Amino acid sequence: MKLSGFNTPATLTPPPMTEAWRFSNIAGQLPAELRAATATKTNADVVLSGGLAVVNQLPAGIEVAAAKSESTSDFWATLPTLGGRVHLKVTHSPERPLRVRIARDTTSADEATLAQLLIEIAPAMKLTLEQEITGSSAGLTATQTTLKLATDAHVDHAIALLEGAEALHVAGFHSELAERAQLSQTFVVVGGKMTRLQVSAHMNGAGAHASLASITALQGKSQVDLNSSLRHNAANTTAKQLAKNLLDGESKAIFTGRVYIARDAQLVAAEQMNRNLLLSKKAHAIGQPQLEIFADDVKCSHGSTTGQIEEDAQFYLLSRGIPAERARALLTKAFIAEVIHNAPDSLRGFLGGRV
Amino acid sequence: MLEVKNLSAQVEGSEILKGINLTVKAGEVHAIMGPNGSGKSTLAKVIAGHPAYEVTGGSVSFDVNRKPVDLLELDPDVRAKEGVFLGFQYPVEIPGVTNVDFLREAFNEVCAHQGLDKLDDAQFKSLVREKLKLLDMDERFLERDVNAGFSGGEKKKNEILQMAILNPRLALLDETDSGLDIDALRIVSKGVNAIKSRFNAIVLVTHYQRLLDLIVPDYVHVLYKGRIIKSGDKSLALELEKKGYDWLIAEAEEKH
Repeated sequence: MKLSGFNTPATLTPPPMTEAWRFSNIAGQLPAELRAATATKTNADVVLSGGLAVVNQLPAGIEVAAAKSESTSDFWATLPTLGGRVHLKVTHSPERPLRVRIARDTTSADEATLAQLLIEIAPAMKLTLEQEITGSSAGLTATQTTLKLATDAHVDHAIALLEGAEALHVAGFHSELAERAQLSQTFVVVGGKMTRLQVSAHMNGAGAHASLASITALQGKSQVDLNSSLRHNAANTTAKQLAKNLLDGESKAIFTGRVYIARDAQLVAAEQMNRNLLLSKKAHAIGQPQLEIFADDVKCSHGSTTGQIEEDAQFYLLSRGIPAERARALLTKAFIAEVIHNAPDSLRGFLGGRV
Repeated sequence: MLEVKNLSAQVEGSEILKGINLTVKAGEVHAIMGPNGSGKSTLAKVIAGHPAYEVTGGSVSFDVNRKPVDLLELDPDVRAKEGVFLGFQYPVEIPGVTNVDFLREAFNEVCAHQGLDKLDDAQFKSLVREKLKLLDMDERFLERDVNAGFSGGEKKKNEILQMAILNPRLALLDETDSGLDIDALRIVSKGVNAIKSRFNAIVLVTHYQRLLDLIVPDYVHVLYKGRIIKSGDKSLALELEKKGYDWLIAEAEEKH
């Protein structure tokens, strides 16, 4: 595949399909030539669009560092590094959220936004991050967002990913947590022909905590494949994950949740839940938890439910005079609201406005 | 007000109600008692229109504007809007919908159907506040999600709060007393008694005499294997408290 219009012109060979990508063979659908999409201008603090990165302003306490890339042979890890790159350091807790916008404003299948964002958070500092990733009717967005949390650092991160009907999307979110660092990530995902989310959190320091929640709302023939990996590399680390999918039309959601607990990582608590609400007969959900536990003193739970709106809940609303259509709408809204309600206070407004 | 004639119903192919006859007039309190599995809850749910139950015979008529209407022909939400209320034995948790939104939604639907003016936000809040006081409930209840994480007692109080706000003409209270401690039982009963009037009727499904000490019934019916085997006044409940159901069951089985 030939890439043009990006910082580094390159020719890359899309990888053959592997087991991990069997539901979402995005590499197999890429065009022979991919051009940088025309950059979108917005007033967000950081804008990544087409092949460009623009820093408009930054809240006090955050500074720009020289972008660097670690060389990798992985196709999907390399692709974002060819586009706009921003490396930030949070040296003091900013008083307001950092707003990052990744945009692709194109209608053509051979146009793309490639972007890489790296944020390092200094010890004991707190960052609230609002990240909006928007696409349009067609094209590709491939991004990588990396967060490195030092000891006692705290990040509240909200991601709203809104894609167009024919768009392809691969978004990586990788976090590394030192001792007692705390990460909360809430995802709202809407639409897209095929979206692959690769979410990983490595809890490398004792006492680190990661909390991940996502709500995906799909209709038509949209498909979202959430592939997550939570690695407990140290003792006393805790993680909580809630992955919800609301599926209408002929849409499809895949959730693969890997939980890895290293041999020495005792007293780990890991909780994982996957819930799917099917609004139509042709909607489809696949859930596959993967637990790799090598320590013996751990608390680990996981579960998956798939169903339609419960008859008892529906009847409860009917029995109070609420008509069937409205009862269904309320229960659907409630399914989404659980994720929003559980998000940190400061991010609820941002997330609620984007579902 | 309510006329149940020879009503039979089944769920998943098994027949639960086998010919129920029951007449309830405005201003009356009826208690439905009986051993577990006799069909008490089913009767309440069938009248309210639960979709899991299939009516296989008989009729249920309910007075609307002083004229009997075939209740079984109405959708469950329309039954509610006409003034039928079911207090659930196991109130459903709805995380993601706040109590106040739920109450407002239901209240507005019922008002619109009955041709009453909508209340503005301040008027509605003051109505709700008044009812909360009646049930000794904290205002913070309103911002919590419907029944989510509520204790058993809180859930039952919440049912009575909904009843107080919707002001039904026929209230079917399905084991509202189960899972309540003495204090909560007293508060719930006080709420029900305050709502009770000569214009409405209450049907209590219960296992225990202790509720009937607080909400005194005009009639007591004993349900067994889908039939009412005995009706009487409040003294019947006292007799059951002393002697249990066995003597009645033996009597009924002799007749058959």
